[in-house]
Amino acid sequence: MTYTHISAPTEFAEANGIRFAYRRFGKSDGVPLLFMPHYRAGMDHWDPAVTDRFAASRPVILFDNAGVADSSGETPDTMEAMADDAANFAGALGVTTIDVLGHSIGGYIAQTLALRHPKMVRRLILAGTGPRAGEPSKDPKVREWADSTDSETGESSLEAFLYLFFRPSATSQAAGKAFWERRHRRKQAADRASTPQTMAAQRAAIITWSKAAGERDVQPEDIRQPTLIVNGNHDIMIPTINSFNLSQRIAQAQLIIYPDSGHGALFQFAELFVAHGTLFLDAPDRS
Amino acid sequence: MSSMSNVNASTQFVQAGDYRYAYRRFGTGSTYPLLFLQHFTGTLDNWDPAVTDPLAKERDAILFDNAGVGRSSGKVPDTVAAMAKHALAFLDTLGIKTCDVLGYSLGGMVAQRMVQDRSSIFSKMILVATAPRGGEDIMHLEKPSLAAHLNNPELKGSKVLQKLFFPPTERSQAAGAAFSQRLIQRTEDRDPISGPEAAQAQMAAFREWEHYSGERFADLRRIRQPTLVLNGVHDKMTPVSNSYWLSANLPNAVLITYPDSGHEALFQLYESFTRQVSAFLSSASPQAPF
Repeated sequence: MTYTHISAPTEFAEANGIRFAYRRFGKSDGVPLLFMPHYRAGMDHWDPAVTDRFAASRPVILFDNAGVADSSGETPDTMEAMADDAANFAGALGVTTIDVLGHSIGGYIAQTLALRHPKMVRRLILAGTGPRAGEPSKDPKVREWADSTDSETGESSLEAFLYLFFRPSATSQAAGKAFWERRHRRKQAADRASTPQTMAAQRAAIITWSKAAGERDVQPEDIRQPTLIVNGNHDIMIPTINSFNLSQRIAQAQLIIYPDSGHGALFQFAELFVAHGTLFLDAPDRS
Repeated sequence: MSSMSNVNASTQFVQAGDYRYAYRRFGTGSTYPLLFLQHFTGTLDNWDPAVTDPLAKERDAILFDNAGVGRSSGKVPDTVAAMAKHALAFLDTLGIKTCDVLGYSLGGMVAQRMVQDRSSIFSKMILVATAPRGGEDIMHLEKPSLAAHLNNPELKGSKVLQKLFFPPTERSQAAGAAFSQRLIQRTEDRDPISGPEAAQAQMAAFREWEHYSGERFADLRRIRQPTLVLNGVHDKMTPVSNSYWLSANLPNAVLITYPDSGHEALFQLYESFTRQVSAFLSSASPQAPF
């Protein structure tokens, strides 16, 4: 049977002493697309309007990185360690070549993965993200909303998402609520909320990432993979200028910016984003 | 049989008041055409058939020489506003009340001004390698990076354009050579090449377009048309920051930038470009995201 975002069972793979939770669905052949989510997020934070649409043309793999949600171990506090964990996880599945979609902090890890494990990564999609030592958020409320927790669910609230990922316009807010409804359609075996340890470690990694890079650190100039960079035109979390910056520094980067949208543009414009992403992933290599 | 290509479409003329405008119209005969507005000093013959012809397969393409350019009469105006007035008069004379527009570089500025003067004139807009009013570093050909090519006596004719437009990488320069070849496929009924007077007047228009009054870019927020903004990330003539401003301030625009390309991205990456533009124009969605 063919699994979807909603029906795919959570499976586990062991690597380096970590038991990684993952779900795999979509086409059985082709280069898998590995999803790397935003701050605090596990597999259930993905939008089925994005994952299922990509799954129509390729295998899709969602996973919880070390210490996150249903995976065992502790969340490390550097992007490098998170990228190595992801590579170990892919290795445990026997996957040698992947495409990677990284959103927000997932985009930081995806860049790091592409540099530390260049032969493993074929193409990159970077959504709502930025380079090391990028432009910080100028919105004073972002940090508070990002760390806020709904006491009933132990998760970020709808209100937090509407503030952080969407624009104040009626259109964008409506898109945010539709996103929220879609991402809660899966009822079975939902993964656990991320722990304070995960939040603290990811926060520490983000702070290190926000500082100027030493010469051995990640530089987008060294990324050789064809890359698609997408964002909303008013991202208040990782300001859109960081997407511009990445697109000027990664040699083979195409940039797409959507209107009246922010950090969650990939969810607000799910259908178009996947159309753009699929065109990009399936395009022939430029010689 | 009517032509489907800028290689052989015959040049036509229309009289509007004191002016006679040169244009070419080819394609499916659709009543809902795509108007092409041209770059600095460019004539009808500077439109790459690799861009115009695929787009003319689903609609009529109209290429237009603004006043004083090519075989259109009059003097080249020295403001974008006056160029917009001519383009509106031209469309009025053809009886076109609404069309789509592809404005490239200077043509993109003219398109923005046209839609501000008459919001009903365009249904959808494609703005390529261009800048909003109040943009910056617009066509400063005196910059060393550009002047070096313009003043190089070894470079003649289309070679100047190739060096100016295309990044210096091997792949981009090869694309530039192919582009030059496509432009000379048309052998008859060609426009005269623009002279220094046209260049001077258009340069004055660029300088005027860099100035703004009131709140910067506020004029863009009134443009409700679905808009596709495209540029090469290494554009030295209208730097890509101008496209970022369009994207940040137009309420309904998708921005796409291409790697390893500059002002000429549409000619270098014509397959991707025409695919994106076709999808955008064919979409029934009122949102720019097609």
